[in-house]
Amino acid sequence: MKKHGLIPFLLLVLLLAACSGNAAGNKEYPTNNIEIVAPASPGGGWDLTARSLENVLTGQDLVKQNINVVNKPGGGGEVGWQYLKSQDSHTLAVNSSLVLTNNLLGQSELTYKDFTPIATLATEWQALAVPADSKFKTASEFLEATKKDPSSIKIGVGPGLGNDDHLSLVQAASEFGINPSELNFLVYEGGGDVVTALLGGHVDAVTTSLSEVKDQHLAGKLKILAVSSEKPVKGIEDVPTWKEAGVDMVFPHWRGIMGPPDMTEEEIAYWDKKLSKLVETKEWQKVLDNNDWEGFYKNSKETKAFLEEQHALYQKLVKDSGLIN
Amino acid sequence: MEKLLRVSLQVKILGLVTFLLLLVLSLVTIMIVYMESKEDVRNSENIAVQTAITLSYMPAIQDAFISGNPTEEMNDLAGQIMEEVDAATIKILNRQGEIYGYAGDDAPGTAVREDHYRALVFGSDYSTYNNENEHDQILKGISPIIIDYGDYKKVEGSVAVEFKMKTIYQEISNDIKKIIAASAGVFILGIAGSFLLARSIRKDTLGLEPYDIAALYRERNAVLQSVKEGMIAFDHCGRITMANMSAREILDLPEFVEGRSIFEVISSPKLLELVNSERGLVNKELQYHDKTVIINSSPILENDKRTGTVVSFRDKTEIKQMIDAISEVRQYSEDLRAQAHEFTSKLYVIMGLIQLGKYQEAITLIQEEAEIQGQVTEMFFKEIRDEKIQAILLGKFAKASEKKISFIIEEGSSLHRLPDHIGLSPLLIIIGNLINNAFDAVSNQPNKKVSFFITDLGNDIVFEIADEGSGLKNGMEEKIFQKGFSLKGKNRGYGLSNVMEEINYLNGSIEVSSNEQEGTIFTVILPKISSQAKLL
Repeated sequence: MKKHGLIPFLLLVLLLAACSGNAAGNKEYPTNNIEIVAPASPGGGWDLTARSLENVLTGQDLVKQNINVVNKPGGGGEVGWQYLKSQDSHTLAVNSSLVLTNNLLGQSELTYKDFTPIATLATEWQALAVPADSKFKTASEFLEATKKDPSSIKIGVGPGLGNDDHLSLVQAASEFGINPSELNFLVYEGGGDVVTALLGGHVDAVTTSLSEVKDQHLAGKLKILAVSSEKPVKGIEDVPTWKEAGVDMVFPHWRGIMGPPDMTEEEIAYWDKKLSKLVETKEWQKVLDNNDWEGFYKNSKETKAFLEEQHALYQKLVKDSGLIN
Repeated sequence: MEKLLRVSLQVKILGLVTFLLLLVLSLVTIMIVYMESKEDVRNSENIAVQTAITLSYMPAIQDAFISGNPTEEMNDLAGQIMEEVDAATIKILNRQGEIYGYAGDDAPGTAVREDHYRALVFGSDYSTYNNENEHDQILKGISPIIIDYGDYKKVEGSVAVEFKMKTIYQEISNDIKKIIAASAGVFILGIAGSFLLARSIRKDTLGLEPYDIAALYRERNAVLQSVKEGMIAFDHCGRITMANMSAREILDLPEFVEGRSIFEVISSPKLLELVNSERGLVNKELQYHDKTVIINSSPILENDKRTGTVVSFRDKTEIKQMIDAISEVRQYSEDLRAQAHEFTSKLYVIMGLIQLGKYQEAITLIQEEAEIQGQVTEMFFKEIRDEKIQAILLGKFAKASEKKISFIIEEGSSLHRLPDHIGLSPLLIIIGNLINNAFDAVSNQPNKKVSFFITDLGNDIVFEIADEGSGLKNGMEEKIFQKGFSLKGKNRGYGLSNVMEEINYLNGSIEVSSNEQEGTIFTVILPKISSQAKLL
C-alpha cells in the first residue's frame, strides 16, 4: 500500500518540479515573440483591436518582444479561439461577448472558462436608431407601439441574430415587457447594410453600434432614440441612455483579450502590468477616440468576475426570456 | 473460520473465479450500458436537430412560408422525413407559434411556444425535452426557418422534430439485453473454464486436496526421520531433496543439506560413484571414513528416465559387532563341549586301565587329574569369584587341554564379583579374543604355554595374558589394533580392533609388550567405576 501511495506522490513531485522549472526558467516571460490572434478577417472590429494593441505596445516600447497579429476568421470567433486553446502563453486572442453567446446559443462547445482572462480593454455602446422623419420621437414611444403590435414594426439588425446589436434590443424589449419572439427582426448582411435599409425606409428602426449611426445622427439623416451606455455619450449628449428612457439597462459591447488555458500567475501579472500601462498612454486614448470606443479597462481578476456576471446575464437573456410574459 | 476456509480446491477456484467474473462483468456491463445509453440519447438529440435543420432549408417548406399558405406538399414531405428518421411527430410553426404544418399519428394539438423561443429570437438550432408528462417524455429537435428575402433574412417560423423517449429507451433496453446476454455467456464460459482448471489440478494431485498433500508430506518426513536406516534422495542434477537424521549421522553430514549438491556434501569419490550409478545397488559394502557402510540405492524413474535417486545406508560396524558377539557365545559353548569331550575321553582311559588291571596307573591318573582339577577349582572358586570370568576361563581350559596347550592361571590371581556395568559380552570379546590369539601364537611352538593373570586390587581390574610364542616384530604393536590388520590371513583382523573398541567403551586401556622369540604380554586395565558413574 505504501509502495503504491508513493507513485502518485512522485508523479506529483515531478509535475510540480516541471511546473516550477517552467516558471523559474521563464522568469523573463515572455521569452518568444508574442502572437495576437484576431479571430476575424482584416478590417473588422477584432482585427482593429488586435492591430491597435500591437501598435501601442510596440510603439511605446511596453513589450520588447516582436508582436505579430494573426487573422483566423470563421465561425464567429470559433476558429481563432480553437487555435488559441492549443497554444502556449505567448499567444493571446481578442474576444468579445461572442465568447459567451456562441456557447449559449449552441453554436460552439467553447466557453469562457476554457481560457485565461487577461483584460477587458474597451467598449462600444449600442444604439437604437429610427429615420429622421419617424413617428417615434422617443424610445418609450417606440417600445409602446411595438408592444401593441410587434409584427407591424420592422427592425433591422446585422450581420446575424444573437450578436450584441440584437441582444441589446432583445434585453430592452424584455425589460419593457415585450416577448422578444414577437419582435420582427430583419437580418441584413452587415452594419452598413442595416443603416442603408433604415435610410432607404425598408425598416422602421435599427439596432446597431453607436459608431455606425453617430455621424448620420449628427448630420440629421436619422435619429438615435437611445444608447446603451451608463452616462450620455460625449458629442451626442442630447441622446438619452436607456436608463433615462425608462428601461433599466446598460449594455456594453466590450472587447477584451484572453490567453490559452492555465497561464501562470506570473504571466497574468505581466500582462496586468503592461496593459494597465497601455490604457494610460495617449496613443491608446487616440485609438479609442478614433473608433468611438470608450476605455473599459479591467485587469485579469476583474475581467474574470465581469465575464461571470455577463455570462449570467446572457444566460438569462437567451434561455429564460421566453418565459417572460 | 478455519473450517470455513478448509474447502475443496474446486470450491476455492470456483468461488474466486465467480466472484472476480461477477465483479468485472458487472462493472464492465454497467459502464457499457451507461455509456451506450448516453450515446444513444445523444445520437437521438443529434438526429432530431439535424433533421429539423434539414427540414428548415427544404424548398417545399420555404416556399410554403414565402407564399404564406401551408401546402399539402409541405405536410407530405414532413411525413416522409418522419418515417425515415422514426420520429413521432414533426411540427412546423409560424412566428405566432401556431401549427403551420404537421406530420404524425396523433391530432396536431398545440405547440409549446417557449420551446421555440431561442429558434424564433436568436435563430439557434438545439434540442430540448418536454418534461410535462413523466411517462411520455418527448425529445424535440428545433431549428428556425429562415427565409432569405434577398436584402435581408428573417426568421419566419420553426421546425420541431419530436421523438418519444419511450421509443429511444426501448431501443436502449434492447441493446442492454444483448450486452447482458453476452456477459452471461462470458460468465458461463469462465465458470466452465475454472471448473476444468480445478478438475485438471485435481487430476495432477491424484485427487488429493492441498491439505491432504500437506498432511502426506509431513507424514512422509516423520516416517523417514524415524527410520534407523540413513536415507538420501537427490534429483538428476545431484541436488539433495531429502536426507533423514540417520543419514546425517552415518555419513557425518552437516545439519541442513537439502538443496545442496550431493557432490558438495559427500567427500568420498568412491561413495559418490556408487551413489550416482545408473542402476540400483543392492547391499553394496563400502568403507566410508572409519565406518563400513552397506548401500542400497534405487533410481526414481519417470517415463523410463531417471529423475532422481534414493539411497539408503546401514552402518555395517554395528552388524559386525553383533555377529562377533554371537560367534563368541558360540565359541564359548564350543569350549564347554570340548571340556565335556575331554572328560569323556579321560573316563575312557581310566576305564581302559581298570579293565586292563592296571589299577596303580589308573589311581595315579585319577590323582593327577583330581589335583589339576582341584587346583583349578580351588583357584577358581576361592580366588576368582566372578561367574562370568569363571565360565569363560573354564571354556578356555577345555580348549587348551584339547589343543595340548598348558594354560595356567598364575598364582596371586584374585577377583571379586565384577561391577554390573561390565557385561558378559564385552568380557567374552576381550578375554576370549586375547586368549584365542595367545593360543594361536603358541600353537606352533614346542613349549605351548599361555598364562592368565587377573586382579582387582585397587581401583582397576587388571588382567594379563602372556604367551611364549614368537612375539611381534618391532613396530607391529601399533598396527595390530587396526581394523582389517591380521597376521593370520585375509578377511580377518577384526578381533583386536573389536577388543580395542570394547575397552574404549569401558574406559579402559590396553598395553602390549612383546619381544621377538620370547613372547607377548597383553595387559588390560578396566576401571571398576563406569564412566557414567564417574560423572556423577
